[in-house]
Amino acid sequence: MAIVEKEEASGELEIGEAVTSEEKPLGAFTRPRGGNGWKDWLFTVDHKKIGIMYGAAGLLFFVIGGIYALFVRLQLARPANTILSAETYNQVFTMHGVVMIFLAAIPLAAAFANYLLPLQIGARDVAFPRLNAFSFWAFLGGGLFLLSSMFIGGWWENAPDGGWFAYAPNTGVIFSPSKGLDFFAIGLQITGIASLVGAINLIVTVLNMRSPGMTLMKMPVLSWMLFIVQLLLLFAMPVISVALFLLTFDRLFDANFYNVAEGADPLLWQHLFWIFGHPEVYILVLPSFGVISEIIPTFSRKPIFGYPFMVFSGITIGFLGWGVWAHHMFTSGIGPVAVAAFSVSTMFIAVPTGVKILNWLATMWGGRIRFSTPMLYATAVIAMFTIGGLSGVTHALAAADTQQTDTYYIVAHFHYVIFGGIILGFFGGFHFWWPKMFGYFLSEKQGKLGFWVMVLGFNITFGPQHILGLQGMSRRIQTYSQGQGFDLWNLVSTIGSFLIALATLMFVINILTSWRAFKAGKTPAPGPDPWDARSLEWMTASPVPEHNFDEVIQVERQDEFWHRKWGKNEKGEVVRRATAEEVAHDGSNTNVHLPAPSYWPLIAASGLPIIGYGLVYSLWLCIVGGLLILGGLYGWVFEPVDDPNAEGDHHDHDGDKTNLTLDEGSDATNEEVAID
Amino acid sequence: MTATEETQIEESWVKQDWVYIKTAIILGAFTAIEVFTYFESVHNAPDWLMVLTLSFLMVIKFFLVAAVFMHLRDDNAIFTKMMVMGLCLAWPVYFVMAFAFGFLPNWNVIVKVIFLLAPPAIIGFWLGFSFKGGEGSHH
Amino acid sequence: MRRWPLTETSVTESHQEHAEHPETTLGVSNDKLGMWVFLGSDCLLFGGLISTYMLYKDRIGPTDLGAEEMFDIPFTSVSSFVLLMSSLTIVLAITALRRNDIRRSRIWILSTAILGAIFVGGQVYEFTVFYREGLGYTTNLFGTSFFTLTGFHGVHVTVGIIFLMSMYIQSMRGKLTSAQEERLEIIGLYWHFVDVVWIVIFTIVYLFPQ
Repeated sequence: MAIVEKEEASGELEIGEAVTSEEKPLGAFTRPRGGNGWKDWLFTVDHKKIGIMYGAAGLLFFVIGGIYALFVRLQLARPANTILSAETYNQVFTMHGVVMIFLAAIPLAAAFANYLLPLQIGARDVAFPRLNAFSFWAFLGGGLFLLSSMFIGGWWENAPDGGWFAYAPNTGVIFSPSKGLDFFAIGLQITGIASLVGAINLIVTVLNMRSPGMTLMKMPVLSWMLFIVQLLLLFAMPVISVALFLLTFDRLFDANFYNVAEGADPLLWQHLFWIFGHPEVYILVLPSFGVISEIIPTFSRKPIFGYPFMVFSGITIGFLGWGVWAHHMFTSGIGPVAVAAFSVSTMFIAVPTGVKILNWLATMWGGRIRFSTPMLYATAVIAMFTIGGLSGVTHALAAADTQQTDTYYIVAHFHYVIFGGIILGFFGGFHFWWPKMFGYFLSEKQGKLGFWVMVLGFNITFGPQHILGLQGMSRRIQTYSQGQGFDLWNLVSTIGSFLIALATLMFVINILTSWRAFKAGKTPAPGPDPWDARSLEWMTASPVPEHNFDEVIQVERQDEFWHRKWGKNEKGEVVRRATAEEVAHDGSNTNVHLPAPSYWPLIAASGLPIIGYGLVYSLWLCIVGGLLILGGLYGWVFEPVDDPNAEGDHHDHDGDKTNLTLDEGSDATNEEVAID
Repeated sequence: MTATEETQIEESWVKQDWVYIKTAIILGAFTAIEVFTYFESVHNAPDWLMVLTLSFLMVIKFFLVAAVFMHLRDDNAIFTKMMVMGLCLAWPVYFVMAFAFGFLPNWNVIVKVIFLLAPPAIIGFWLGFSFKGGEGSHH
Repeated sequence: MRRWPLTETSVTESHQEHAEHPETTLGVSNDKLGMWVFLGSDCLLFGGLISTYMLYKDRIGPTDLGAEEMFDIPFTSVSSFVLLMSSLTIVLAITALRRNDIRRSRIWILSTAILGAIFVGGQVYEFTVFYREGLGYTTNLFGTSFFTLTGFHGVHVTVGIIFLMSMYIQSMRGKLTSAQEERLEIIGLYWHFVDVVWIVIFTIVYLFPQ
């Protein structure tokens, strides 16, 4: 993607240049000047700010989801406990799942994707910056809409209570009369729109905005994994959209899609949901795989082992993920042929993941490893995900799964892969990229300590759940009676969960104290490349300047940045060619053309939750929301991408994209254009 | 530009328009055939023949609109790839789902597998052999 | 021969124009690629709705209001033909715009919108007839899934008509120029997709033997 420099304003018209005029734009824009006032954040279209907002929101929702988990664990710590009633318990564990998956894990992945993907491919921003902003605000609106169910109409009266995968017909109006599932269905539709639109954005970005010379097979592994994730999102979101539309029509308009009494098939929801749901879990885990594929080579001081295998195994996982969904339905009565087929396909999908694990280990083997905090997390991911993967393979055997399904064994499995695979990877990513994004180091000591508390806590929480499951403890039960042999491990598990909470708190404290220490001058500035890393995002200043790179980077090979720092001498030994500071851009080229901020995406996105409330409470609100969306979209379409009143820029006519500069070749009859 | 260049361009546009009109006529004709089969054969021909014929016509119409009107035929191959990805995913996934619901119970398993895999395979061949890659579509 | 060469001083270019430069990696425009990517995902949406219809089309409960009884194939064939022709008119609009024949382009755009509106009108009429014959949205599962599927399609067509009318109004204000050719093309892609989906729906829902 070209870096277009602003022209110095000249007084004379050149051939083909349009007559310019001062035009009042449609709204009050402010040109970004590297400012950080609240307006800059609210109206930003900069992928880095948007990424940071996704990260902050994701972290906040992670804490909220974690608090739900603590309550679940408190309730289950002792038999016949009475902390949460059954109705409340159902809502709490449902919200835990929904919030963690849709409001924590996906936005945290989006944070990394938004911040890093354009940088890693050498681009200046994503393909559609305002659409990017719209994605974030739509996500936030949907998330807050969903969370508002917690206290609307009374505390814990109207939150969704059907589990995170909300099986119909249980989630129909007959069996779930509260408004909770309406909030669920509509909230997820809104966040689904955000994800879908974000996926379109990033796919076009990766395909069309790479730095010259960067072929797809020279992209960093993280970029590849994120690209595959966007493709998965693109095709999976419409399917859950259909499922949720059908549920919404059932609940609001008396359709009978899931009403067995009227002839519906109870499995329709399950199929539609899991056709989405299985690719969804790869959507969740592949970003983390990408993150550790960046961390491990950096801290092993070796390139990733088997780059083409890493890429193709990712593609294979993405593709095969579409063929295994009914392994979530082995006991639902789909019949032996289907069960056998999906059992086999599920076993197949372990293979590409195994390839990745072997490649990570092979990367570490023979390297000079530094176990800084990011590397600790990355290594833990390999170990924990292997454990989770192994229990997953046991589920693939349909006969065994018949015993394991809906027990705590399953709960243990998916927490090992989700928490162990995804969350640990993200925390590693935070520590790794924090200096790049914010310009200061997180404390290593606190980071390492926090790591150990987290991994310890995590294993203490979920390890015993394997045993509980195999002993027969059912999942999603509000309590259990004494004397079944579940007491000890439930208590242990609860203690572990509080350790996880402690570790999260330590991370937050780390952020604050490290910031203060940096401000007080006690820690050094990280500079562009504190870890001696390999990919392009390290080739610019920290924190990354608004325009990303000072000049277009010509890419000649994979790990381009690393090869500019290190070369080989005649003896074939690796020797330093240049320091990072010499190679990296220092951010001094402030003449780079940037897309102007805009408030239309925010306005358009705000209409979505209003429509949501309208559907649940009063259809008049839908009209209000609809007008906001329509108005927002019209304002957006007719707004020039670039602020016409910014100095140094040429102007558009009437603030309208339609009257662009025409050249000699056109015989336009537009009288507003003066051609010499 | 010169007058001859202008008329040449004009002619190529007219030719292009004519291609579109021809395609529209063909599409209309196919639709007429489809409707005709519905009426005439609905009482005579066996179901599977009807379904086969109608599916065949449907696929051709789809292909024509996509290739000519949406000029997939003339454009960068990446556009075709995106469309094909969507189709090749939707078809087998929903077909398997239908099968799991017990659709087509009295069809031979082999026929079912062919039905499942044939469209993506056909589209894959079409993609691989007949479309030149656009500049820069490197992997 | 598809792009007007732009001068170097065109810093005013929008991102759209940046992307039209060969400087994009694949040499195609971001906006056009974006629309194709979106259309790829829309396949999955309609696939789900069609599958649901296929599952439920025979579930008419105690009523005898099923597909065979309700469908008026001649009528629907005519509206299918109308939609098909609207695909032609939009394409003619684009070629007209490309050679700067604004007036003709405007006529074809309006024609497309009108044909689309006729199609939607035909759908509305068809639905009202069904309703009067006793098939409401919730009467039986056939009805629900049929109305949902065709309703989603109808909404897509309506959105397309809104796009087209916006372009038409732009042209009335004298703002339609050959520089917008790509925007019209992108709208055209969306319109063709909606037409193609109808080709599939018409065949599977209406024409397949019940």
